[in-house]
Amino acid sequence: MTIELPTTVPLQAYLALAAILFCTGVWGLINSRNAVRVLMSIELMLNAVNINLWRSPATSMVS
Amino acid sequence: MTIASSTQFICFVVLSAVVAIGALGVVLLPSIVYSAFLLGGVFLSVAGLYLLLNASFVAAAQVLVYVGAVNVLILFAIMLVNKKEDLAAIPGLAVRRLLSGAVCGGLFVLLLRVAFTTPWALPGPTPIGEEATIRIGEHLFSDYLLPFELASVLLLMAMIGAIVLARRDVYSSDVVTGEPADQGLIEKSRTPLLLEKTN
Repeated sequence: MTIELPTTVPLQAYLALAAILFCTGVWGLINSRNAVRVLMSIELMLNAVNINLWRSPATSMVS
Repeated sequence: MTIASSTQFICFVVLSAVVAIGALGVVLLPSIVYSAFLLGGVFLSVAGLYLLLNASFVAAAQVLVYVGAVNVLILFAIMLVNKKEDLAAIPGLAVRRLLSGAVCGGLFVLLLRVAFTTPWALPGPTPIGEEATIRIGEHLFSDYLLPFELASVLLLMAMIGAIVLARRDVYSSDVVTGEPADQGLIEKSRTPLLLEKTN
């Protein structure tokens, strides 16, 4: 007997994580007074976008 | 819930917690060296998320490029330009931070609403797993050859430009008088970034 359970992490979880990362990057970009920290915030935002792009459904490892 | 899926959930929760807390530490910590090392931790956790998504090549590229190149470059920049400067106090700094935090919170709510109300076409295309490297190589050398070569030419231009900018003994002429001016002397009259060896 099989019970329908979410076997993978849903897409919205990844999108929410990317949103958290992007908003943190935006806050750092606005509020930092150091040039290197501005660069680091921009890198955070770029990584958030990459998480959004690379969502592919993971194969269900259950059998 | 099987053991595989629960392992996947636990890995996702741990990695996303590391990413979120690390990102907050990057923007909030007063010491920028700690921020740079936390940024490396965030990059590694994002690589772990890629592994969780069956994108092993992208995870390897993330570790090589971001942790190995970008983060080390940022650390070099911090350690070379380690100048303690006392910034002038801004009146109402806390209010400004709270206001920008409210703006970013609004952006976050908007993004969450988009993510949860859009009818996504699930499930997406099936992942190809380990064949991804072969597919990427084929695309890079057949139909994406021109952008690939353009990127390499762009990197070469950036490297030559950096060498030209880093040269100190370039003679240039003065704008007003027209007589040649030693750019090295102009550079030396400013505060040197690195302590020069005296012998």
